[in-house]
Amino acid sequence: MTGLLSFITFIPLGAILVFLFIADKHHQVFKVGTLITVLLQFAASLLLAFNFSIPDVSTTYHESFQMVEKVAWFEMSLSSLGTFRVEYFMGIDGISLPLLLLSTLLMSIGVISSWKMRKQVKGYFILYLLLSTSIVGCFLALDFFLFYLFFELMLLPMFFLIGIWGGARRSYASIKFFIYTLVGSLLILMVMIALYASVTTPDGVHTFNILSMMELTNFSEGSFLHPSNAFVFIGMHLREVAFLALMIGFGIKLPVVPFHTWLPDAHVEAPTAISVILAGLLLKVGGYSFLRIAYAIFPDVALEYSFFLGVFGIISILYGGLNALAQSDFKRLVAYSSVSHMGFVLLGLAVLTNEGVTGSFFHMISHGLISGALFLLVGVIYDRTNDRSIQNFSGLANKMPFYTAMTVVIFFASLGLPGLSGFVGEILVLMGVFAALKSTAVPFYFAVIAVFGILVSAVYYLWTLQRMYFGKYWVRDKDWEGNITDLDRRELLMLLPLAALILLLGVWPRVVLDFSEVTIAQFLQHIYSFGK
Amino acid sequence: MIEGHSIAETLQNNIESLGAIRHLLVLAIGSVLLLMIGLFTSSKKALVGIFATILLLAFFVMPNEITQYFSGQLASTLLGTKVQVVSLVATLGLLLFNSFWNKPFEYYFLLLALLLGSLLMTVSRHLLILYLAIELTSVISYMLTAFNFNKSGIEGAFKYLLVGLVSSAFMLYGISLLYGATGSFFVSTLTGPLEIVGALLLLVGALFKVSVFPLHTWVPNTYQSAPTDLVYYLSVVPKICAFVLLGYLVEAFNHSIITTALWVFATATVVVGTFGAVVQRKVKRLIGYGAIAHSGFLLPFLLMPEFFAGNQFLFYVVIYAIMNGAIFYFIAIHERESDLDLDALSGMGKTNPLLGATIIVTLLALIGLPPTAGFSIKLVLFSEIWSSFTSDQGVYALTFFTVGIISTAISLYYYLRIPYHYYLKDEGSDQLKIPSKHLVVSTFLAVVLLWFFIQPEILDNFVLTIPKP
Repeated sequence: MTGLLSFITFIPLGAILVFLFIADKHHQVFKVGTLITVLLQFAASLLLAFNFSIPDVSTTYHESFQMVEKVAWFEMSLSSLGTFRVEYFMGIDGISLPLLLLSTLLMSIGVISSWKMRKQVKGYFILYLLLSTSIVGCFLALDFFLFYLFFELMLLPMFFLIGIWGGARRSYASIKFFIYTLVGSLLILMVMIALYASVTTPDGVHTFNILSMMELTNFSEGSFLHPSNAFVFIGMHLREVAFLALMIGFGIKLPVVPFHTWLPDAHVEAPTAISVILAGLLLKVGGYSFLRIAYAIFPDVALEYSFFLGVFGIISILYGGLNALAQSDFKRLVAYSSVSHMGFVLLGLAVLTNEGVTGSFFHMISHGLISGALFLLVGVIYDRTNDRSIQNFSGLANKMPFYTAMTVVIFFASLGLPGLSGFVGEILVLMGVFAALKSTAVPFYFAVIAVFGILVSAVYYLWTLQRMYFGKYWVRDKDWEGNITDLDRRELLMLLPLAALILLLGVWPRVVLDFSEVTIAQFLQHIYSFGK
Repeated sequence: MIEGHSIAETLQNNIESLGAIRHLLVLAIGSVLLLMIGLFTSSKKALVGIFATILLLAFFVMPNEITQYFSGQLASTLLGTKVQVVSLVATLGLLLFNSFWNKPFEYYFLLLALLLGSLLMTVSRHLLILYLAIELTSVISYMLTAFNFNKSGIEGAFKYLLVGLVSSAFMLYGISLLYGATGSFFVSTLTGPLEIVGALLLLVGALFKVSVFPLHTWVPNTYQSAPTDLVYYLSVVPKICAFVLLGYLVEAFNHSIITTALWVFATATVVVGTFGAVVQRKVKRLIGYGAIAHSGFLLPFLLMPEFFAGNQFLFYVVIYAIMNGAIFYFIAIHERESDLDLDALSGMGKTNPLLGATIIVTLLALIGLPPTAGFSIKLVLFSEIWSSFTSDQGVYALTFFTVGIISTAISLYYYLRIPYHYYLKDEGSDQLKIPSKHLVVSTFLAVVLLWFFIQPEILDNFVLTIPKP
């Protein structure tokens, strides 16, 4: 089994190497080649899931990683800071495994969605594969430096995928996405270096190992990020500054209001498959990094700031929801609903109770599936008419019954109907907020406010259903008439598995939670033992 | 002449010392020979061949002992010797440029003399030799800048000349003050206010060479109008050699006012370079401002206590030379008139996608992002500054650190305008298909930049073993 993680991560790079030697005109080769590659990744991650053993409750968070691959990578001498040592360190636990499965699944669906791509096919699929490597790498890396590399690497393909294959305002959107995310990464970079300078392993070596960074004893006395360091910068202790920098860096990715403004532009301008990846996976990288890095390394600060994080969660939920309500562009509406849902992820994390964190994690998986499906639904109408304004359509149900049925299922999942996956995540987060009375500073009425977010989401989804799908059939442009046809087989192939999974997770959430249950308990154990 | 020595002793010492500058002699004699041969042959290939031979010869006769010679008027250091090697290799890099193969023969002569002046900067210890070395490089640079023989070239050269003359006057005045105060042409620890003033004025000349604020103003114009291969050269060789000289001066002066002033200048240089680049439309001006910012990033290395002992500066310099080589090569192959506009690059990515990929790597390196060696050097730099900050809690180091990080973020914006135009803008009126032979060089340089990121220890070893080929 060793080497499987590297295989999943790097097989797309191998495919890219092969692609470079194939002439541009063989479109089919690139499509099939990419599909085979991502399906291989998917198959390998399924294999991984079957070989994954649920960790023992008695073990600690640090010990629960499996399939670990660890090799010394490179060294560079840095004057008084000692030797700069980076490890190639990958591993998987109950939190990263479901996200890995989600990634490889959505990447596969994304290829099918790109099947009709005609513009610069070679470049598109090469960048797509590069994106696959970077996202998967982010979920697997356990060395901060390695993680940062994958995190940065994600930007480049995304920039071009939006900027070249996107819609009318693509250059604006891609630049905005790039600048936002890069400013975030610079903050992360600073924290990374500071952490590196502060953490020494017992054998006296500075390290980027995330697991070493999670132990208080590894912070050398008097270093910047040692809890006892009294140095105050802009009115805060350095640990607080570092945590905030990480929260902003990852918060841009998640996104948290007020750092979300890149998201509607990027989502709207990106081609369908890339919107699916953006919403389904890139946002999850943000959420995952909160868990794996910001919270795990700075639990003391996370506990201290839980109230503020909760406030930002609430703001995201409501602000995203209200914005979605105001949109006339179907895709923009979906994009803002993502902001709203990511607010639940943040709120669940902020409360730091078992229910909250589980809910937050589950919501990430569930939102990955739902938002992926939502963007595919938008893609369906956009492919047919080159338009996605809500007011330009009415009564689509008459002409497109399957499409409408699928939309209803996904919409209801997203607005949190019991029996579908969206409900499980939201209810767990809300329960988590109530349970937080005992532990953190998040007051119970946050749950009450968050419920309004669900209400708003019900309003905009049902209203959209009413406007676009029900009523008398009408479309703005007569030329579209001939194109309005129901889902074809390719589209069903993409949407059905997602809908089935959404239903499965709705009625049987244990599929995911079995993996994560023990790990999340260990995670909280770690948070509270370090943080107090 | 040093007191206490008889003329015979001095003469003896000087003759012995000639061995230690044999590579400089090779360059001096070689350049004159080249000038003479140039009168009789018009074959550019032969001339470039001789040019390269002289360089190789100088490389192979390079002495590797670390000594003082000419009664201490010249002294080699380990770092200085290594920078000399880098300079020689960087000079050979000129051969990659197509335009370099088609110049008047005086051009090659002047370049060798420019190299000679630069190398002399790294070893000079006597104030007048130091002045001579700086003037030698400066005067030749003024001439070479005009080698496009057009109006803008003359304008660029003239601006360069004016700033240069002023700084040279300041420097002479500084030298005279220092001599007046200490009675010696050798640099020593500063004591009185007169010496401090003299030292600051002297630094003006060196700061002009490395284009540090407030003496950076010649850079954008000169870069824009000079031949591109020369711009590459000016941005690397005289600059890094002048940094070694500056490093020596800082160490010898050993005074907090000098250090403080340089921290302030470094910070200001980074700011000026970064903000200046934001509004540029001409690619060479843009890169010129970027190079100013890089000067600002190089300056703090000199202020570190182990400047001459450590390899950090050299590490930065090697990568910097490769990055500049790559970017100016890119500019040179896209250039149709002397100043390349960003708009002229629009849509080029459609016809030359791979070439664009190599330039992305180069630009990422210039910004300082992984996975390129540009990131490694920024990391080295920032950790140096960080440790300097922790050792003395200096507010200047912290300010520089913050400003540096913010500037890096801003530099994203202007550097990435190049791939932005290249790929995302709609094509301009005429599409240029770059011959694929250029792809080889670009790809090579890009791969080197990636490779040194993955295995910096290669460079580390290389840097450590440089003086013994």
